[in-house]
Amino acid sequence: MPKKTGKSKPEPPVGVSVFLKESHLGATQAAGVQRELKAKGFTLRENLEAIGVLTGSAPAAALEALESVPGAEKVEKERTDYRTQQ
Amino acid sequence: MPNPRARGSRRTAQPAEASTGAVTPLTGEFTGKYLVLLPEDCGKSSLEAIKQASGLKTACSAADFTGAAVSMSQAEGAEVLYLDKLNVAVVDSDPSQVGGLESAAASDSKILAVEPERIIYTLGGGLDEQSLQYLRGYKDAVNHLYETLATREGEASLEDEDVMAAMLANTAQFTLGLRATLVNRSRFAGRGIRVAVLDTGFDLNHPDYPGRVVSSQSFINGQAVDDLNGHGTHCIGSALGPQRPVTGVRRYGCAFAAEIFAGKVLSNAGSGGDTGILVGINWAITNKCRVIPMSLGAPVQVGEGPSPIYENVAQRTLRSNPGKLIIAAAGNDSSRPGQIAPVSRPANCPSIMAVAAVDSNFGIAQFSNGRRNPNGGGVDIAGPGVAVFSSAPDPFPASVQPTGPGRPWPPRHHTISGTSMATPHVAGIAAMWLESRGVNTPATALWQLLTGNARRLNLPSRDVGAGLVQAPI
Repeated sequence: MPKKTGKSKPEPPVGVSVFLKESHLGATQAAGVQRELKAKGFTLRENLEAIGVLTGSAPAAALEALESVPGAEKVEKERTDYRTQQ
Repeated sequence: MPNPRARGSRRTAQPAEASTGAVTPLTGEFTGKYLVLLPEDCGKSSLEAIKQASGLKTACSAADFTGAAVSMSQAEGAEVLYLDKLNVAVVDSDPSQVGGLESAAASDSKILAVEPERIIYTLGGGLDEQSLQYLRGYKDAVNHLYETLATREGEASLEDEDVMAAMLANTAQFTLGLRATLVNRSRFAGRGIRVAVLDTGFDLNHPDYPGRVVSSQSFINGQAVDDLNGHGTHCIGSALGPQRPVTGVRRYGCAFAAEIFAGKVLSNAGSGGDTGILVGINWAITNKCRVIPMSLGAPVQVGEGPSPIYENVAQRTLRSNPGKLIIAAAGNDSSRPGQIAPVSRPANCPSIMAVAAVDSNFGIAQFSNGRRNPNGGGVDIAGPGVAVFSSAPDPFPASVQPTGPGRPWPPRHHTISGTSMATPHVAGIAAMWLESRGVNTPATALWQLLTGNARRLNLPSRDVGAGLVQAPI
């Protein structure tokens, strides 16, 4: 029986939004949160300072780990199915 | 002739009170005749009942004339004119004879109601006080007949403005939506307020907006803010359209003096994702936009909760000082009466004002979503959302537009329906309330002003929240 060889294909990353805790909105703390998120697989796209949200992407399997980062209040997979309502 | 008197002459004396003992004094002018409402398929038996109850003898029926083309001179000669297709008889009787008819209406199933016939006048340009008085008079008759019959569940109650709005629809001066929300009577215009419409963009060269302050930004990769869908232009029109459109059409916008911020978070195809929407909200807040309407939604399942991200963002925004109000469409996934879908995301957040759509009869629009989920999944307020007239891109060649039902739209102005249309009415009116109470009025107070001053409808809060949004007068 032929064995499987080689690595399995990596999952494509999914869009992710991270809501920062009130306590971590300052520049230094926010930078710290971004570093820790990056270490866990998050690639930053935008830092939305006025609303305290980071948008970016990460492998689907990494989402749970992202939420454990201190300063990350909520982590959500992006939805792309919004439509006009007429 | 039992009583010598001129037929069809005006009388100013009070006619006999209508049946079922209504006590409200009747205003207006009367012809001296009475309208009698009969049950359906009553035919000759009801006519006989009328003759017996009133003592009148001669009758004439529309059915006797070819094509129901009643000869009015012949009809004048009869004491009872029976309009068979309407189940109404016009009866020329004395007040004393009416008494007999009233008793019959109370006891006889072949006569449902009796009303004095009123004189109705055509309406000139606007509605002056005299016209209003005649309409109010007619309202009494309509209300009375309405109350006499069984009230169906879900029917809106009839009051002055209801009757006027329902009867008159769009006028030359105002859309039905502006009249139903009292925008047409308001002296406010959102002066000093910035409103950010997050949608498919805006036609920056639309002829109705010369000299208007517009800030715009696209958050859709590869697409300019110029609206090639039409939806964004239409919503901006409803929220912020001009007081006197130079194109000569009726007014269709609420806060005509507010500053327009057009953020493109939906593509020209009309779709978008969290990334673009959140960036748009961030832009709006950074630019001090106090009101942020979003006529967009993603469907939600029964049992599904709101997005923690949107709720956190909206709550923080709403409660900051002075705060911003985020408003979103409740969604159009329903097919009433059989199927009511849950309020869409992100409107289903407790801290986002969810807007349902009502029609010109103040009924719930058949597509409008309702509260099926707890914890924010409710409707907060309603706005006009059926057959709403507003701006469309101009020019608007078919080749640039998306395809699908209702397409292509005509250029310059268009009439469409959706909770998308109701939402910008709430936003424009919110800007008017901010002007009326002060630009630093906190967003939480603004929420209370909108819901507290909404017009109560005879509909469940599941469907319309606090009711139909009303502008400050």
